[in-house]
Amino acid sequence: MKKILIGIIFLTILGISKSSLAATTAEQVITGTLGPFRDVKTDGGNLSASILANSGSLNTFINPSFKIRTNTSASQNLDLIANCVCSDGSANGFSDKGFPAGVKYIALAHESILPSVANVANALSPSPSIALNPNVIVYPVTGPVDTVGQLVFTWQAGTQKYTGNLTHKGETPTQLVIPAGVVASGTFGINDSDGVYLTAVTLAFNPI
Amino acid sequence: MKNYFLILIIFIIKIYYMQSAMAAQTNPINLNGVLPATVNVITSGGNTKTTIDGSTGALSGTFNPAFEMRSNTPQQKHLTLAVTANTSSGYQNAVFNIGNIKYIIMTNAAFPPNVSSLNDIKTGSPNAINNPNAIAYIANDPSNDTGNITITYKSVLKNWDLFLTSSGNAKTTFTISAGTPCNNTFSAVDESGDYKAVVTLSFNED
Repeated sequence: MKKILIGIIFLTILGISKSSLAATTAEQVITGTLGPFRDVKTDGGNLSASILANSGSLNTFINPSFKIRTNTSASQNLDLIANCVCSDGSANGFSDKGFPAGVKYIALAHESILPSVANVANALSPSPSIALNPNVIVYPVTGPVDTVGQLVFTWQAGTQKYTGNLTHKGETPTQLVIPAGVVASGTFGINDSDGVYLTAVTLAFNPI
Repeated sequence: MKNYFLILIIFIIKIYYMQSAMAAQTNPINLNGVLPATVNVITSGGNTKTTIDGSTGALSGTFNPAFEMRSNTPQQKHLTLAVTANTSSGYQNAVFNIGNIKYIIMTNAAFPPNVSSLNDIKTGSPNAINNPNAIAYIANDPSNDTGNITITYKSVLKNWDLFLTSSGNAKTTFTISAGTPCNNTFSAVDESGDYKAVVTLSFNED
């Protein structure tokens, strides 16, 4: 009799335990992994101006603009370069003319009567000679526009280009400005053929 | 004579004890086991991980977390399926609807957004710049996989009622299809990393 009573009590406890152990809530966590993303797009700006034939000055400013997009605020670097197409290759279109702390310059090369790489190098040198840089005209530039705390450009004297440090997620605009007016001394002369002068400005993320 | 008498005494004693033993085996004792009404719910697999395209915000795969419910009573049982997402102020309801289309919001696990990000999305007219680290996707109503569940979306409470209409097992699957996010809930302001939402199915006390 005593054993039976103990058995009943045991079964009762077991029944209560089963009931209270039954889970009445279950949850599942769903996870989507968003990978890193970054791109740069052109964002308008004034890309053309007239060059005054008697002075070589630009009649208006040029300001190629870019929009940078990324989904991380982790530090990332970009390069801003200028490239002139030459008869014997391509040439860096930026220069500090040997004065890194001073004004920076950009060269425009004739579109169809291509100068040589040496012509561009002369035009961007500290002491250019009109005779040695036909079909290349150089203008001072206003450095690419920083956004404090988000995008800061630094001139690289060794490679004669700008590098940008981006620490902002989302969209970040920037632009390079070539002001209207004065042409760099010793780069405009009668041996610069009429026509279109251009250079390609590129903003690109550095490879990760 | 004396021996016969002794044998008789022994026989009587033996019969007595045999009767006593037989009586103990046949006395009726009723054992009552009371089985309480019991319910439980468990997860039942399904895909819970996928990737999000970095340029479009699209889910590359389908989420379909599944649940299995059990009840040992024919009486109707009431459950709630809810979805929450973490924010800088803790977990919030992550369900909303635009008309008949329901959405869930997933939030960045490493950079939980402010509640304002979820609130902006829940307006139905979100502005991507105002909902960083939160992305919304279309959600289907939970399914009635076993044919014994009644499902209703609660547009005020922003969750789903499920009613078990019979005893036994029942199964439901909550599906978020692969594809593009809700307009203006994805942009470059959504930090890369894992985006999560918690899908919970619970029996109610009623």
